[in-house]
Amino acid sequence: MGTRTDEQLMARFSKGDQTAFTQLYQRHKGALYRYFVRQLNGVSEERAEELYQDVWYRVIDKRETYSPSAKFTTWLYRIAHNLLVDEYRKSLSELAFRAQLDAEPEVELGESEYRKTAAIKHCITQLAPLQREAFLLRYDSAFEPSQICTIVDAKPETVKTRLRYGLKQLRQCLTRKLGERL
Amino acid sequence: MNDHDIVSLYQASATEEPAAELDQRILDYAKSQHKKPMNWLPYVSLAASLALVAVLLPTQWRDQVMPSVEQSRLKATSSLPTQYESVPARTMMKAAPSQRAVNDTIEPQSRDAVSLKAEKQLNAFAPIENLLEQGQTAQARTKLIQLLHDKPELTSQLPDKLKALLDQAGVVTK
Repeated sequence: MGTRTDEQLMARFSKGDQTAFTQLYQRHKGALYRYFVRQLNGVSEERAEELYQDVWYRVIDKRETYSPSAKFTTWLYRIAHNLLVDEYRKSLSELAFRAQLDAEPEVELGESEYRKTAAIKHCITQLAPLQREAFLLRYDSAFEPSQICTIVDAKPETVKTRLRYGLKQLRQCLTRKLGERL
Repeated sequence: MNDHDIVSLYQASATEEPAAELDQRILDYAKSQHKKPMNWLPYVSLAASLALVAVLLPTQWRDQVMPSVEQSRLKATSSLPTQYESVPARTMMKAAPSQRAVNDTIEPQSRDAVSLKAEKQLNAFAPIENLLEQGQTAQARTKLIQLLHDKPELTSQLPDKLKALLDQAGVVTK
């Protein structure tokens, strides 16, 4: 069962195989969870958890209509992306308000490894949402750029630009926090 | 610091996982959805409707179509007592042994008709038996000889009492 693809597991789950869903969940829970936590870092961790849970509930509810011809992870993150877009729309005014109040938060830096971890997490939060999303999908969830295009409904050039600018922003931020050399 | 360094740094720090409680909640939800019982209500409603139609419609149809069948059945049953009433009880009792013998050789479907015919034939001896009971032996014998002459087929069904009457007169019966 360990060698089964996501699509095979989903097909088995739709026929009532509970263990197939458990395996599918274990495979993708980390990256999807971080996708929401990082994207909603400025809003609320609780809200990120709610949306994360909502995605899985939708997967469960739509198991009968899932078509094995579609790649499971693309379908999964497409649901997540749509929820996130709705969330941005709802919280846009709130975020703008917070941005006016909060200056860039100071990161408490200690030991070397801890400093690096804290620095990258902090710099990720500083990315523009679309750049951060592209970065997370590419380097955390391991999607190919073409798959990211499908998930976020954008052209390949747009996705490449977001990735390029995202990495550039991170480099600048990390250099400020950690210096030229890691 | 190149892109690879940045990505490696990120991946090393990307360790957040959902809480075990959240995992369990989602897995439990998946389990509960599969265990959800089938909604039988639409099927039960449909079955009840069909049953109602099956009960009501044929009743109306039968009221229109079936009376003639019912009437003919009633007519058939009411005619039975009339046939039996036509046979005197006493004669039937006397004819009983012979009737049993006849019934054993005939088909069930035609049994009623054959037995009635046999009773009718046996009934032909009744006047002669009456004469015997009244002590008019000679007249009874004459009438019996005349009857057997007219209807020789009755000879085989001749009661023992009447056979004896003929024997006394020296008449041979086959």
